[in-house]
Formats: sequence, C-alpha cells, structure tokens
Amino acid sequence: MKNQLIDQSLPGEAIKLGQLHPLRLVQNELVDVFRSMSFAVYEGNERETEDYCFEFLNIPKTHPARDLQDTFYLDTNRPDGLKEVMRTHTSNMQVRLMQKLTPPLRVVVPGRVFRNEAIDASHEHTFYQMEGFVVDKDISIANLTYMLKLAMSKLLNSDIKVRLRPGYFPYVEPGFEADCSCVACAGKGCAVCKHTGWVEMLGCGMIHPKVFAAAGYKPGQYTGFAFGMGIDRLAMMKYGIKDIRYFMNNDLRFLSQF
Amino acid sequence: MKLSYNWLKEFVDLPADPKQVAELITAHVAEVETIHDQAAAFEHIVVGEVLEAKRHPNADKLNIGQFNVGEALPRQIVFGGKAILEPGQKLPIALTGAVLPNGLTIVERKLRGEVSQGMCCLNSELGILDGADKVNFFSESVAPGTLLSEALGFTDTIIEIDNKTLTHRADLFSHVGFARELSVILKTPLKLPALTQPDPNSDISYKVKVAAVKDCKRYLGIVLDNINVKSSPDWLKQKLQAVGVRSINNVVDITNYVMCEYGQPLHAFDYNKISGTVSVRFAKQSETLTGLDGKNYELNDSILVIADSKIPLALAGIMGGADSAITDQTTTVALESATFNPTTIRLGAQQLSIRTDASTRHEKNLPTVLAELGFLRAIQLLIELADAKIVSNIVDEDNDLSTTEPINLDLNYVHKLIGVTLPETEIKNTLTALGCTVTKDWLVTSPAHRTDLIIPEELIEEIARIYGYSNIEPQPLVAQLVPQVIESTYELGQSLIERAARAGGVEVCNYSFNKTGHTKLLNPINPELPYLRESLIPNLLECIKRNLNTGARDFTLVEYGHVYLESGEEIHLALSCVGNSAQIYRKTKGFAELLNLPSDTIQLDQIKKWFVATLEVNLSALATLLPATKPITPISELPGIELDISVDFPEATPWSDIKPVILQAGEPLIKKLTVFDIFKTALGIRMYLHGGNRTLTMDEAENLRHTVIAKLTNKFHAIHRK
Repeated sequence: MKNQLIDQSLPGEAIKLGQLHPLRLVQNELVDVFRSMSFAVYEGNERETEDYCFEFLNIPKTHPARDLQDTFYLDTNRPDGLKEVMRTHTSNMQVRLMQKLTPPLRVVVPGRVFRNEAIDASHEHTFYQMEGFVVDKDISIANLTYMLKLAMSKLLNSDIKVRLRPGYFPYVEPGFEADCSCVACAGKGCAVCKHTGWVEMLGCGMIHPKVFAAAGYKPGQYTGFAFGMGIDRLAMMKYGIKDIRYFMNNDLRFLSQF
Repeated sequence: MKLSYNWLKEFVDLPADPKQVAELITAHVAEVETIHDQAAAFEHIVVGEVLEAKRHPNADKLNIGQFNVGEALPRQIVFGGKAILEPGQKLPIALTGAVLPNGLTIVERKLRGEVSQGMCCLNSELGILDGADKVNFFSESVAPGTLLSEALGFTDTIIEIDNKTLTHRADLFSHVGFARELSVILKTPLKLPALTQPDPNSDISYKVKVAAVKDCKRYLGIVLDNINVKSSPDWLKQKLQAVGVRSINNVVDITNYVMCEYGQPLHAFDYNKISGTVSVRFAKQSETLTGLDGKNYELNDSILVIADSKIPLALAGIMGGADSAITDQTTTVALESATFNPTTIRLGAQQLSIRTDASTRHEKNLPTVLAELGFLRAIQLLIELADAKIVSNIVDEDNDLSTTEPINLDLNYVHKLIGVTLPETEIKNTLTALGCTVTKDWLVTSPAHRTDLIIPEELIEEIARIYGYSNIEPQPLVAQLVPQVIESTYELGQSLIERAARAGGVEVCNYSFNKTGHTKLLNPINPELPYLRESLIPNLLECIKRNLNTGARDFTLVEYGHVYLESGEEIHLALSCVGNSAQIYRKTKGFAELLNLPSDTIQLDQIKKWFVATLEVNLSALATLLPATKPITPISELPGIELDISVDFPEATPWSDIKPVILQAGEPLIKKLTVFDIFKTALGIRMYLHGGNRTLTMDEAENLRHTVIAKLTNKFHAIHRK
C-alpha cells in the first residue's frame, strides 16, 4: 500500500454506535436469565387502580405505603369509585396475570414504578423493578431457594450461595429477604458486603392466600412464590454508579460510557 | 431499635459472643443493622497506678512517671503538665496499639530523650464522661491493669434491629420479645421478672373515661403517692444509656425502662396537676398542648389526647404534656398504660411531625396484654425505686373485643409449603415454645401477645423460621414445558430499540410527568409537572436541550415508554435526530424507513440554532399488525445500469411532485429511485434501471435519461447540469 499518501498518525474517523440505556442492559440480563428458565414476560400497565396495586395484595387502606407521601394518586373519578395510582411496584401484575392466565404460571414483570419521595443520590420517584412469580400445585420454599440460586448464579456468572432470612411483605406468607454470597470476596467479608459475606438481593415469599383469593383461585388449589428486585440498585452495584439520578437525567456523557 | 446484649442475657442464657446472637436474630427473626461493641473503642486502654512522678530533665512542661499497669514491671510514661500526679493515683493509660477517638495511635517512643511506653489520658482525649480536659481518677478498689471499658462499665454490645422488618411484630419492640425468640431458637428457658397483682387502695377513687372507644382498646391507670423523685440507680441509667435513652429522673426512667423491657409505652402524670376526671378523647379544634419537648402543638379533631376535665394533658401514644410532667416537686403520680388505635397514632404523629419511641410502638398494633404487663412491671419498679405507695383503685378500661379463634393446622400443607417433612413433635414443640396451645387435632391457639398469628400460613412461617431457612434443602422446580408468552409490545419495543441503537441511537428514559395533559396527579412531586404525559416528545425535547447545553452535538435519542391518554395507556417509541440544519429531518425519516415505521408524523423543532426531527409511534397499535414476512426477490443474473442526473429547479419543488414525473417517464425500467445530493434547489437524482429478463443497452439508458430530463424541463422548467 502507498502508505506515504496518508498521514497514518491522524486519529481515526469517529464512528458512532448507539447505546442501550444501562437500566435496559441490566433488565435484559435479568429477563434473559428467566426466559432461559421458561418464564413468560409481561410489562403490564403503569397507571393502576388501587385494588390491583394494594387491596388484592393484602395491603389495607390504613397501610402507610398508601399515604399521599408515598404513592402518587391521580385526580380522577371512576364510575366504580376506585382511586387510581401510579403503580408503586410491578407486583400490581400478580393478580392481573393470575386472572388472565391459568396455572402453572412462570412469569416475570419488568417495568417502571413510582414512589412519591424526594429525590437524592439514593432515592428516585421513578425507577425500575422486576417482579416474578411461579404458581402451581405444589410449590414450596425449597423450590424458591433452588430457583433463586440458579437464577442468581447465572446472573452474577458465578456459583453463588443464596440464603433466606425472615422479611415482611403483606402479599407473601412466609416472607423473606434473599441474600447472595458476596461475589467480590466469595463470601469471606469485604467492604462491598459490609463484612458480612452476604449481599441483599431481593424480597420474596410464598404467595399469600388472600392474593390467590383475589385472583379467584379456590383456597388450597395452588401454592406459589413471588419475588421482586430493584433494577436500578442492581445497575448501580454492577457499574459502580453512586448517584441514582444519573439514570433519569440521561446525560450523554454518562450514557455513552456503557 | 437498639437491643442490649447484657439486658437480653438477664432473660435467657446466650452464647458468649454477641455476634453469634446477632446472627441468630438475622437468620430466624429480623434484620440486624449494626452490632456495636461498647468496649471496642477502648481497646488497649487500662487503669494504671502512679508509682513515682518527677520533672522531665530536658523539658519544662513535661513530667516522667513510673506506672503500674498490671504487668510484672512498671512502665515509664512521659506526660504533660495539665495534671500533677501523685503516687497512688489511678487513671486511664493508653498502651501501645490503642487508637484514641482523634485517630492518634499509641506507640512506644522517645520524648526529649526519655522513653515513653504509653499515654496518660484526659477525659477529653478519650471522649468519656464529661469530656472535659481533666483526668478521671479511679477509686483504690480498681486494680491496676483493669480494662478502662470494664472500670467504666462499658461492657455491653448493642444490637440494632431494622424496624422495618418488625412491621408485623408489635411484640418484638422490646428485650422481652427478643429474649423469647432467642429462648425458642436456642431451646433454653425464658426467665422473666415475676409480676404480681398490686393491692388496690380506696383512698382515691380514680376514674378514667374512655370516650374514643374505638381508638383506645385498653386503658390501665392507677394513682401512686409518696413518690420520691430522684436520680435513677446506676444499673438503670446504664441500661437506658446502652439503648440510647437519656436518663431524666427515676419516675420517667422507669416508664422508659419498662417500654424497652416489655415494649409497652407508658406515661406518668403529676396527679396534682390534673383537675377532674381523666378522659381519652379526640382534641377539639383550636386546643393546644405544650409537649415534653417544649414545643407548642395546635391540635384538631383527628388527634387523640388524654385530657382532664379542662385541657389536654398528653398526645395519646405520642408524647406527654409539659404541664403535667414529673418534676422534683412531684409527690403523686397517675400512671397510664394503654393500647391505642395504630392508624390514629400514626396519622396523628405524622400531622404533628413528631416521631417518638412510643408512637413507633403504638403504630404497630400493640397487643392489649402488653398494656397490663407493662403496667404491673412499672408499679413494681415505682414501689422499689421511688418509694411509691398505691393510693387508688386500679382502672382497667378494656374495650378489646377481638377474640382468638383457633387455627386448624393441616400438617400435609405444612410439609408441602415448606418442602420438608418435619417431625410432628418438632412442629408442636416450636409452636408451644412460642406460646401457642396445640390440641391433639392440631387446633392451634396463638398467645395473647401474638396478634399477628391468624392464618395457617402464619404458623407455617413460625415453624419454618425456627427450624431455620438454611436447613431447607433446595428442590428443583418440576413443571410442564410450554412455550411462554412475551408481551407483544415488549418484544417489538425491544427489537426496535436494539436496531435503533445499532444504527446510532442512544436510548434515554424520561419522566412520565408533564406540564400539560388531561390526567392530573393529586400530589405531584413537582407542581410544574402535574400531568401524566400523553406523548414522549415534550420530555424528550427537554432532555435534548439539557444535552445541547452540556455540549453534545449531532446525536440521535430513542425512547421507549408508556403514555397515558384518556382512551387508555399506550406504549410509544420516540426517536429524535439532532443536527445543525433542517435536513436532519431526513435522518429521522431514514431511521423510520430502517425500522419500518410510518414517517408521516415526523415533527421538526428548533432549539436555539439546532434542529430536532422527532418521530413518535404507538407500539400498542403497531404490535397488533406486525407485517407478514416479505418474500425475497430473486437476484437477476443480468446486469442493470445506474444513471445519475443533476437537475436544478428554478424554485423549490417537493420531491413528492418530482418523483411521479420521473417514474412515469421511465416506466417500466426504473427499479429504484433515490436522491444522492441536495444543493439549494438542485438535486442529484440516481435511477437504477433493469430490463428484467433481458440486458439493457446503453442506447436505451441514454434515451431514458433524455426523456426524463425533457419531462422535468417541460413540467418544472428544470435545468439539467452536465
């Protein structure tokens, strides 16, 4: 080649690829793991009536989560008298999908959720979650641990351990917090896991009989488990992002780094 | 909530390592947030005795001393001039390895030629007691070498629990509650204080009128006289300090102590400040109360108060009032131990912006039995520590109508839900240890302090968590393999976004709230954005503006998101190309063509000198009419001809007018027609000709070029540029 015809030391021509949002990258990883385990994917609706968001999930009117300072309410007058909210969790799809589909069910619901709270480096009023649930004749806590271990090992690309601890969510009974053994230190204890060897990953539990009742399932007909996790938090962990506000601010100087 | 390890140990035998206790709590009961070892801050700091002290030979302001720190040989320590030390005095000495609160690490070193093997510490240097620049001398009985933490009584470990994980466990906001859990987990007995019914007295006929029956399930009251208000004994002060409660006087301290011990908030009124009958009622509009915090609260009819016949005395379940507070002059006390409606207390505290240890507990739906236990314990301690004498009858307004129905527990269901077959005796033992009664037919009645145990699943949780979740062997999910649905809009959106990103689009996600619209939020976070978005474009344009302001140029953004129309929620995709001329429109149109999206709604906006062309499509509609797979066109073996012409139009002419004229002139040979260059009103037009099943000749192509140019000249007065 006639190299002398060009200045080879000039920088290359800028070729721009586009970029998926970091929240979608993490969401895709999660969805891919569960699709590979034969889960269906539904995104569902973000504007929701209070029954699907709260009542059907055993969250009564007096529950603090339903206060105006926690939930965005809509100024609407429905003929059925139901108040409308911006969904506070993707769990709103539990009863909707149970009503629509017949078990056995294996579903994940990734999507946008809303909480009426002031924004700072670790709080957003708009963020992303992924809900998942399994309903069948004989689903047990033992099944839940098995599936979580499998899914989290695949997600974190490492053979991790999962432990359940008591946790409280009104729509599951029993309810758990699930921890994964810390990938950074292999469970030995480090700054990432605050020297406990465990990192909190998600909330989960066995679906509450009141939820099945709301879906119109006969008592005792099915058992199931549900789990839910924050996509923003996972993305922050994965990419070392210290400020949650970066996600909705969409600064190209941030987005172009993925 | 803070738990003291030493306090817990009074009620149940615990492992020697508090960390182990914390791990048991995390695994079986609730989340431990932190473990704080009081002594850790005072490692390598001991009590030392002065054996000899003299002036430093080489420094005016320094002294040298020999100190017995409990070792075989005394240590030489150089110390400053702030204190004159005498032989026999005992004081805190920091040895090698100690780290003082200011970060100073103690090492052996030479000071002006003299070896110093430690440091004499002032209270200020250790952050202890009054924190003053003075030495704390210990009594003779303290042996040299005693750890400072021991000498000062800082031997406790504080286990802090995340309150949120106790939301459903009102019985656990106390040391007794956690001790009970630990006794069940460790299978060791629970040792609680023996409580006895006090003997009532008829000197004072005490009455409490509960007007707000639904909001006060139980009220226990009594009047105690001969009260000696004084400072609390050290053991009580130490325990309160350990769990972060300030000591005030013995009477107030006892109520706080019982709250931390049994979980029942109590209040002591100065009986002589009460006029007439005490009642529990809602406040009247415009009533006010000065709280124990000194703040004046304006009340209304949703705030529950304890009042006398004239004024409110206390914010029920939240805080006492200043007027009836216990003072040094108090001689007679009216004790209150009550159960209030959790929601009323929560909303009341929220309205008044107060959060107290009492309101935190009342919000959780306290069992009424705790009101009685706390009451008895407080009376016992008031008699013991404040010389109290009972001078009234005992008031017990019990409006708790709830009954405990036995729960029918099906053991097959227990095994099925947990996924482990547990021995029947183990199940029974666990439930019994937790306070349940279990019949041989497995009818289980929960104890009075467990208002949260109502359905079988709640009992199963008890059985499983005490057994230990980590002991449950994971079991694979066995299920029918059926194809699973992916919601069509999700899948379409996913593929469009991915293709747009491959072609240079950067994905963004903007807020769902907007300046204008039809559906309004009742409680918007930003009053300027009170509506739900009906289009992705306004917030996308704002996002573009922000990025232009920070120096971004020539970019493409793409967004997938929900919009909320009056007709219903839709999922939209928007794509914006940003550039320095209106021609950017064509880039957006190019994206539309690439992604197979309709391009007729592209909107052109201008932000300062920049142009933005935006396309928005409704994926919810599009997903239902996905195009059928297009059959491919076979590749022709015969060559085609590419013809370029350059044409100048005297006035701006839309391509939509030009295109049919060319196509008509060139039929049927033109297979593809594009514009490859635009300069002012001139267009570079590229035509691809093909003869189908025969090869085209150059003559045919040239003829076609002439025909097209002639038509354009004729129709538009266009000029052909060679």
